[in-house]
Amino acid sequence: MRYEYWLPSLILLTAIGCWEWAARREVISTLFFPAPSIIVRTLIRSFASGQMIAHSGATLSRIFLAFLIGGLPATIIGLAMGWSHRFRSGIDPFVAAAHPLPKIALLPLAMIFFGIGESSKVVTVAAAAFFPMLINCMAGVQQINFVHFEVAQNFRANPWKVFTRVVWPGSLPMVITGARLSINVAFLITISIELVSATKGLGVMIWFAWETLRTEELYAGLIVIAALGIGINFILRRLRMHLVPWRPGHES
Amino acid sequence: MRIVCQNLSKTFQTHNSPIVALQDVTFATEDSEFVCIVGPSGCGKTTLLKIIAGLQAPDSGNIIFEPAGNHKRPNNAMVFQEDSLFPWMTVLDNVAFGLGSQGLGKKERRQRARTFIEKVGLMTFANSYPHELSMGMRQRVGIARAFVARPHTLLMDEPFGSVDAQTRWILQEELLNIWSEHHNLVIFITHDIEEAVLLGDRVLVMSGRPGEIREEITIPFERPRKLSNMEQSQIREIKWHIWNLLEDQARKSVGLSSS
Repeated sequence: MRYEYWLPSLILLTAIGCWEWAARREVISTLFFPAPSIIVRTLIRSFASGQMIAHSGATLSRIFLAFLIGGLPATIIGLAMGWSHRFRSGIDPFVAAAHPLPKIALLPLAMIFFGIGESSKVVTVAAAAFFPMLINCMAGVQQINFVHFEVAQNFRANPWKVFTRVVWPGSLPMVITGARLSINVAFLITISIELVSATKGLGVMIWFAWETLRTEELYAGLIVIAALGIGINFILRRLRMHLVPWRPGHES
Repeated sequence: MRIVCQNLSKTFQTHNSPIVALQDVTFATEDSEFVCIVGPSGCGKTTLLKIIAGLQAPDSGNIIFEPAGNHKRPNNAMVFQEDSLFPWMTVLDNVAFGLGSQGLGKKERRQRARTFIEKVGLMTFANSYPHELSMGMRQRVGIARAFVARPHTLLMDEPFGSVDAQTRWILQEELLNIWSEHHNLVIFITHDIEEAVLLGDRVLVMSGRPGEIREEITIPFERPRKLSNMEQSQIREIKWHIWNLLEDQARKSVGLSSS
């Protein structure tokens, strides 16, 4: 399906246009719905003052740090679980038990262990980012057609070779999917934690805007969050196109 | 190289009841022969091949390889029935994979791979990915990959099963051409009786449940064989002889009663 960008753009512009008109005429409450022009002005101002950059930076650094701390072990353990039946049967019960726990609820526990600083936040987000990555990595290995392992065995590949030439490239599409889900969850949980307990970050900015009833700053913050989300997913899509030039799921 | 199989047996445990895939299968090949094994679906042909390949272990019995084979050349290489190329590698890398464990440099591996890709007529597709190729082309790559390591034995599991009839004739001739250059021992599994008669020096007729060799038939046609020029009446005779051996079982496996 080729995307026809003109239609959604038209709808969006029309909606914004109507909103602007309605706000200027005070048909809608400017407390709940400040005019788009004011939101844009607030955005520009917050960037110029460096405030938006500081908040965005804090949020992004938390997300990526947590993704690294949670995602890397998840990749290793997930791939191992996919590759070895025995390992999987040993670890799976723990994964199944921990997975349904809402990770935000772990924040107080993390604060007991790590204090009220950055570490507890990052650890909580890492715990959230861990599971989507692990499950996708495991599934990534499991969906590799068994014949590829037989080929590797027939051509006398040692375990390292099996990993680098079969397990890793074969599971890569799903590993990337796992990364995408993982980062998105990390984003979500980070903002949620920032709403509750932080001094810097986009969630903090939104919460503060609510408390001071500066709704236009609230909208500005949401727009930046959405833009960052779009940006991150865009980068991941491009990464996938580059790393996976073949077409998965097309084996006859 | 020749292979001697003695009393190979293999039983699979399933939920319902154990399946005797192979029972005391015994046969011997000649040196550098082209042996075809023909039998109905589910008669244990693939299991037998995988045991010879070392991918599965028999419950009892043993296999003797004569001579023991030098370590430069691998014992055997398999061409699988299903699509077995690595989708994430180009044709060139897939074929070069066949040389992976021989301690050659990357350049050397690719060079040899290119030689065999040329032999199967796919030079223009050397840098393509498998999904860009048709099934027939993919099987040719699989054959190139198996031959490139110059194994003592080639084990082929219905390699032309998923290819249309016309492509099959082309591939059969190509296979014979490549084989005539290297004369490895070939064990070729098929359910297509005519294919077995056209290609093989000998045909082992196998029946299943339990899997065993019913009869060994020597094919009298000389080599090199031009498939389009062969004596049709003789082919027919041998074909029907084999079919008579297999008919009852083939009917049973399809759910029909014996005629």
